[in-house]
Amino acid sequence: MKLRKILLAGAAAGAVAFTLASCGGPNQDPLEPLDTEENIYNKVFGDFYTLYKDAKKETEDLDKRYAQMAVSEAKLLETGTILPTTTRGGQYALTRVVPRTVNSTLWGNDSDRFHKILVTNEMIKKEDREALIARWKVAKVATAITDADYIAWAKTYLAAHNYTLKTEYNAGYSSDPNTYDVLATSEQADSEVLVQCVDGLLEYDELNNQEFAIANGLTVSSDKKTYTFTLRQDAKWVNQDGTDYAPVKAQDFVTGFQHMLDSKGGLESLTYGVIKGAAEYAESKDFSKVGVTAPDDYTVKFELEEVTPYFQTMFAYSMFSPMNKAFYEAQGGKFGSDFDATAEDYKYGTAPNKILYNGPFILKSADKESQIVWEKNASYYGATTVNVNKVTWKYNDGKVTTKAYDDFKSSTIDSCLLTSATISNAKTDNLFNTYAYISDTEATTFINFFNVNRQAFTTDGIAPTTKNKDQKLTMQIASLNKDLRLALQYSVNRKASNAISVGDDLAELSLRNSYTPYNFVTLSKATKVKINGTETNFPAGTTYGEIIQAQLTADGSTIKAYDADKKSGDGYDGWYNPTSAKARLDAALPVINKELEAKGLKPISKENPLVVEYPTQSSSEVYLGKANVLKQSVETALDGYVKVEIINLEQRADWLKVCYSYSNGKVANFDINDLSGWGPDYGDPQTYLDTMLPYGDGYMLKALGLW
Amino acid sequence: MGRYLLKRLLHGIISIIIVVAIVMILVFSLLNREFIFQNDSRYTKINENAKIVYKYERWEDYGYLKYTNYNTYLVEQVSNGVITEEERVEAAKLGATSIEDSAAAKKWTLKFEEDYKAKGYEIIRLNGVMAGGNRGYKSGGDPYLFAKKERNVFVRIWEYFTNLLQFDNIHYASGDVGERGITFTFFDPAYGGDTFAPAIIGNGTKHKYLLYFDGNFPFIHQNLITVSLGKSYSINRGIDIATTMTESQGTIVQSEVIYPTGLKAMSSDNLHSAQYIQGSNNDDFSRTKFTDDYTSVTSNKVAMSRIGFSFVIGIISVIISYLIAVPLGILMARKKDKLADKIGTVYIVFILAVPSLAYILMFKSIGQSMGLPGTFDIEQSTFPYFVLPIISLALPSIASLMKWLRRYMIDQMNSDYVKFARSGGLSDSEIFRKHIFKNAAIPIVHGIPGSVLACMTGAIITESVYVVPGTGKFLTNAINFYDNSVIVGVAFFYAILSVISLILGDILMALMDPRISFSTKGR
Repeated sequence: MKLRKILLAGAAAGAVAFTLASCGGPNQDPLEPLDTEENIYNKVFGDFYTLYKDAKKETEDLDKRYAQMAVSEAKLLETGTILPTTTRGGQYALTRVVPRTVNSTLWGNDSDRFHKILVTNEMIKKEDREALIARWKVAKVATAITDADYIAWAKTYLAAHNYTLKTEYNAGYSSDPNTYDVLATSEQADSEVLVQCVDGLLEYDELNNQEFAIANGLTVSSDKKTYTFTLRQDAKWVNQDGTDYAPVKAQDFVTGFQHMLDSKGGLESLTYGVIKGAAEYAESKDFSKVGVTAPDDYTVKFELEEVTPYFQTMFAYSMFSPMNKAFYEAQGGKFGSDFDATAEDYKYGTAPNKILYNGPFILKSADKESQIVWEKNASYYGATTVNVNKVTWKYNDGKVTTKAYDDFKSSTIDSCLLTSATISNAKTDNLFNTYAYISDTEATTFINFFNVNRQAFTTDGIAPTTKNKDQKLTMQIASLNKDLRLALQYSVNRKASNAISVGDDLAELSLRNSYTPYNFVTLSKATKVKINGTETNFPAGTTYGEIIQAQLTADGSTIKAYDADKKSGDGYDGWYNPTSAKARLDAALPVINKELEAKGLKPISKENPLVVEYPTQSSSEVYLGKANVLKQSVETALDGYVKVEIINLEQRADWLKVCYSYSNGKVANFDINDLSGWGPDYGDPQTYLDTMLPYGDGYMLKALGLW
Repeated sequence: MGRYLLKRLLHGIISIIIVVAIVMILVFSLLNREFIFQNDSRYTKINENAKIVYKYERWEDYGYLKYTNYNTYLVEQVSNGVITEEERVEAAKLGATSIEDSAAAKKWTLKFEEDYKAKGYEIIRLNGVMAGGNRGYKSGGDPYLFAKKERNVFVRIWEYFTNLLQFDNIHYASGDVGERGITFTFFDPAYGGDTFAPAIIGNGTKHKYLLYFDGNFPFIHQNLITVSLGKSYSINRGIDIATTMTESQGTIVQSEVIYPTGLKAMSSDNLHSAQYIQGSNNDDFSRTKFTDDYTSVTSNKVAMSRIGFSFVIGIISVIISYLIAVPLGILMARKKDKLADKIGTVYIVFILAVPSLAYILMFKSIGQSMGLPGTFDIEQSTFPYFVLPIISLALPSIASLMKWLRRYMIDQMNSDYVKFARSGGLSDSEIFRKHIFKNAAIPIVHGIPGSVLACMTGAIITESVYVVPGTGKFLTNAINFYDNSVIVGVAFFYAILSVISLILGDILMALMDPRISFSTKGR
């Protein structure tokens, strides 16, 4: 009896060993690409690239440009290489902040500015919120109504509905600023604190119209390559104590630009190829050839390399912020090749008293993991429009899930997002039905990438592949098949996956269905654009998402990037479709199998499924749960022809290394990966679509194994 | 006793050095050094060669290796007068690979390689990464040439201890500062020059004030010695962890400041913190205030430092726990197996068995329903804000003190001397007070210095639940973010505290118990 068991076990082991030997064990050697990167790119993205290049050439008629870009984005989505997953926002929230008293532009930092914010002592009811937003929409369309009118109207409305306003605003925050130098950073945690303190030339107001800030006049040359701003003369620099330091002059913008290029905080690359000589400055350090100059004390001139239709929207970011030279030098700051931020006596931006202020608020304290406090700047040129005197942010690392809700209830903070844990609390406290609303979705889009040119099968020993040589070659061929890619993307149940992190109640709200948010730009006038050769007319007010959808529908795609009933491109799952997934798979398999046979490889079947590797952080329940949902939904929808292999990475650092901070497409060691996303840098869909450009210009292409 | 203490102190120092050395070896040689970039968003945004170079630059900043790039080398050649600026520009033009270098570049790259190889450096040449399609280099793909030399971990350990204390000196300032020297005054100019306030002022030093008095605890302050425990990478970028722990917090407070020029103004500038920055007194605004280049000041702020908050909350909770736990422990021992003992045991079991986060949150919600604030406010750190954090810290220490005191006393109750005393006719309360408690208290007393000093290390859960700006989270955060220098610095700090606590505990025990003597002669 015993002997028989041993024999059986031996036989089984032998069989396993034999199977392993016959097809080879996991093999981590890199794979030779099937073709050059250029050819693969053209094969996969050809349609998109041609249309997109045309769209970018349109610099006169912006509506036409946007419409063409939307059409090209439809082609991008149809490649099946990127699956938009979620966005930020789209959560239930409670608030005492009056809606739309903070700018809501999707790009830049202006949506962080809270100088005109209205805060009430009472929680704002859902119906009042809706009434205010309805009024805001009216105000936004009517040209005669300014943001001041809207705010005045809101005040009257609030008073009539028994709300009282307060002059302090408190909120929670979770990541601390690392520097106080607004020109040396592109991190949200820094800029959201600092934009309150430093004003630039232009600013989006509460109706999302771009208005003058420190500038009071702008002339654009006829070739659209020179922008000349004149400045108001009452803007002042003050120090942290609020003592006047100097007036803000045109030279400050020149100094600021040079310092921004010197400090290389991540903003500089946005100006390369836009501002004349900016890219060359990195090497030559010769600022006299850079196209930012001050002809006199109150005139700043920007010269552009080429016509850039979105140039003005870039002012919503901080790269053109001013800086006072004398103060900077007094803090040990230097320029050009002398610049050294690590020098012992370089103090600029190391503390709130080591910068100057010209904005509505002065940063009075910023203690790590504790709180950040601003007070109103009495010397601010627009001091009368500032609605709060003091703003306090209190740290909340989110580890205690009920903290934000409890703090909101006790009036410690003025707004909070409800998590799946606190929704039930809000319901028991009878707050949910009256006060909870769904927060706006934001501009950042998270993406699930499909690597079309995988060459790496280990990252310095981390995340070794489970595939043998044949499986690797099979995937290499299959990943170039558009139908297969789409089959995979259609089979991912994004709602179920999102439910793991945010709970069932919220699972759909933050789903995104296009790369560029559907409402990122809107047509200002009726515009004609060619959809598959037919001129199609879109009326004024058509959103970007609707045009994407028109092209998708024309191509017979089942992707729903815009839902006409919901009037939205967010908040539903427009991709998951097991029927079309199976149909795409059925279309793909014969083609792929034929190619495989030609190369002497085993065809894909249920017995020999296509293996798709997906690395995740296995020490996190949420990420592992999401990975398992993906695995299950793909394997079920594709009937076992595709097997998702979850690559478990215990340490977060390893996961980031494999899926996020890898250096180029050659070392992208995964088949699918959903760790990164993209937020816009300026107000043109180009900011998203440029990430898919070839030749290393597109930031996102490395996730697809290219460049 | 003196000799014994000296020996203990010496042993303590040696153990601290060993602990730090072990931590440094673990952290700097075994931990993957790429992990330090985990929270650096700049790192994730750059690609190709630029990423590699960025890594080496940061590793140099944080002491892993020595690094020089070819461009810096050429700039040095210019400033040494070896080549002209035009020649430098020519020599700086690297080809995609070394074969494609221009003649000037070939000559100087070779010289660079020779020079640095001779110094024991390893030369790394990163070839240009092409974008394809006749497009030149990919972004971040420019060619680079640099030299690097790994720093031995033992050298690092040595340098850590030698750089631990930095002494200010009059040769620090690089520019022309006039006569260098140190002056002593009874009348600190920061107070107008006619108030009695002794100060030592340096010229040529890094800090202007080397010693001074002010109204803040501990009233006498010095800048002569600066402690550097370790420069942070992610917790507080570029700032030494010792500074992060000890600098004051909160919003700035203004008071009338008398500047060196005689200008009186309302300001938050803390003139006593003035540091030298060469050429900093060059603009009109500075010149209205300062007479020299000692212009870099910190702000006066409203609240204590991190270590201050942790210590205040900790020390009050320690005092409260001893005040409560000692009588209760005695009561439990005296009423063994009676109701009081049973209630006490229930409490002890509750605290030990329930995870601390759970009961802290429970007491927090009870406290909040009574109107106590649940989020600490650094601006108005008044009594109510301290109540809940102190309670949540005191709860577990009361339980453990009660548990041990009860156990020690019950142990003593069965010893012969108690039976003897009882047979001698002493009353129960007398036996407890005079004999049992005295003996049982000895091991408890030994822990007092430890619990007092441990207050400085902060409390992880309590501080995070109530958002107290203390020191508790440093070590866990540093470990989470791979902020390696901070791990070493904090470990060093903890090691010092525990060595001191043990020695003080022993001394205190000897004072309490005459049977314990440190001198070998007496035996």
